[in-house]
Amino acid sequence: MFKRADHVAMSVKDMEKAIADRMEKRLGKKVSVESRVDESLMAGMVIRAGDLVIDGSVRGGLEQLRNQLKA
Amino acid sequence: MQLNTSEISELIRKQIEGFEQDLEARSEGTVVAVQDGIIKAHGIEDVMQGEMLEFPNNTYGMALNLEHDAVGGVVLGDYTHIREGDTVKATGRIMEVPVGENMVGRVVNPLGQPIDGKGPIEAAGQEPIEKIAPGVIAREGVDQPLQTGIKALDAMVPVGRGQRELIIGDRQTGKTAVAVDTIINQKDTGVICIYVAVGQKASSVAQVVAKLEEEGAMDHTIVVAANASESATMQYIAPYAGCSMGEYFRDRGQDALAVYDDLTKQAWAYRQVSLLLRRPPGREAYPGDIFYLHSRLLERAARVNADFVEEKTGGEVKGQTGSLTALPVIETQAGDVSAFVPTNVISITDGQIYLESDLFNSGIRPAINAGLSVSRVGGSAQTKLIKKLSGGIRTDLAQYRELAAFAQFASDLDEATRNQIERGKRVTELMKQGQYKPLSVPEMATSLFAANEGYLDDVEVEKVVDFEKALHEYMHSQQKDLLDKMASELKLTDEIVSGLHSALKDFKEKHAY
Repeated sequence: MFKRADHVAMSVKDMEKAIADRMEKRLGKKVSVESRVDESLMAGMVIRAGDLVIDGSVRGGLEQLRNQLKA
Repeated sequence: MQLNTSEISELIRKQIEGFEQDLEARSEGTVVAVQDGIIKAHGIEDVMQGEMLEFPNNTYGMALNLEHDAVGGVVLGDYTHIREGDTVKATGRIMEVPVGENMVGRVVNPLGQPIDGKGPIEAAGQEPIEKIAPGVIAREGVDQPLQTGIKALDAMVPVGRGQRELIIGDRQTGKTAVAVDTIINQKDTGVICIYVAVGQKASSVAQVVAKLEEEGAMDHTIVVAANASESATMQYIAPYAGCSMGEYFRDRGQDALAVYDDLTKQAWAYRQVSLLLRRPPGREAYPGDIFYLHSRLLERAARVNADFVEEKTGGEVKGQTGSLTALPVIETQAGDVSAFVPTNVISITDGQIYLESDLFNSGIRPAINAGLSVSRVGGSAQTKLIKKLSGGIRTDLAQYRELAAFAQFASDLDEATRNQIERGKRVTELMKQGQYKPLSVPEMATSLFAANEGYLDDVEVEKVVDFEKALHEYMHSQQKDLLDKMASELKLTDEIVSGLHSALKDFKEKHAY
């Protein structure tokens, strides 16, 4: 499901660092990452930066699939 | 259609297997207020004006007001399930509708979704509903006729391909009838018609669709319906959606005709949206951009040149011009053409067809007021044959109107005046035409020729309609060659003139009416 998995995170700290690097490149700003665990996502993660949302969670995926099947 | 359960589950399985999660970054916000289909949202800071918004439960909306710390938008469709605190996502797309050949023959809502129960539409693509009209360089003069099949119009108020001709009149004066007759007459002409019904009763729309189907006119027609029960936003965007569907054909070097029935109701819907969005009201409580609402829509009706078509199709279609003709409809209240919206649209369009209830009630149908109806560009686009013959009709009617009022007081009239009045009465009678009975160019020419050359002068006024009907029957049964000749040449040659003279003499001598 993850296409851009060029970082293999070994721990939460490594993962935060990887996300910060990628987001800094994308936004062109200094980024500090604050992470928390949300069980309802099931798996994957959701990145929020202000209004910007990148949804890579299983819950988000299932929602998209539901909308697609409905249409 | 019989569907097997295993087939369905196979289909769903395939869809699930082929599913790929969209990882695109989207901007999100929160709904802070919902009222009467209007939402106010925080966040979604980079949203565009007119961008589609996505709400929970597959509901869509459109961003209209971009303010300092909030975004005002409208919900398309049902808004009752949207609550304060719901997330709203920007889709990154301006409002779009499906376009293409497969839309033809279908009834769709303003979002392009089919509502005729004939299954999904395989569209050629999606086009934004709001587009900038072609500029001066891309345009070409309007010089091809769009035959309405209505004598009075084709003779006196001709419409050209790419023209914008307003149909205006009170309720129950036959505005829709004129538009529908024109659509029916486009059969076998290659003109694709788009009938946009705004704020009408669902039953009226169903009636029009049934009639179009009966006449075989649905094969070249798309119906875009935003019924009276639909939200004001849907009614507001319907003409733009229909216009984009028509532009697809225009840009591919084809001819299209869009009927907007009617723009008064669209203006009402837009007024409602604007007032709810707290935009300042102006005259008659319409917002400040009510003129632009209609001008930007009607400017998109145009005849475009071959270069433009070639560029649009990427060189696929060469040497062909395209056109989108617009027939907007405006309903007046008690004949008041000087109300706000009617004057606006009159000034935007290239002429108007003015329908009057007095004429309608006195049995003159279509109830076209020949004096007030004009076409500002159609003259150069009129078929030569009709143009030659209609000059006399126009002056006959104008003189008749002038004299008829005067003659009510004078008992003795000189012979010339009396003749003119008699001629005028017959021409007025001749201009009557039944609904759903469009005439071909040769038929029309025969009728006009008969009036011009005085063949009607000794026919009783009450008999004119019967005379014409019998004449057309005679022409079809005995003068087929002459009709074919007129249809192919479309000019008034000496041969056709003498042919018509002898045909009319023969008819009057030997046939009863």
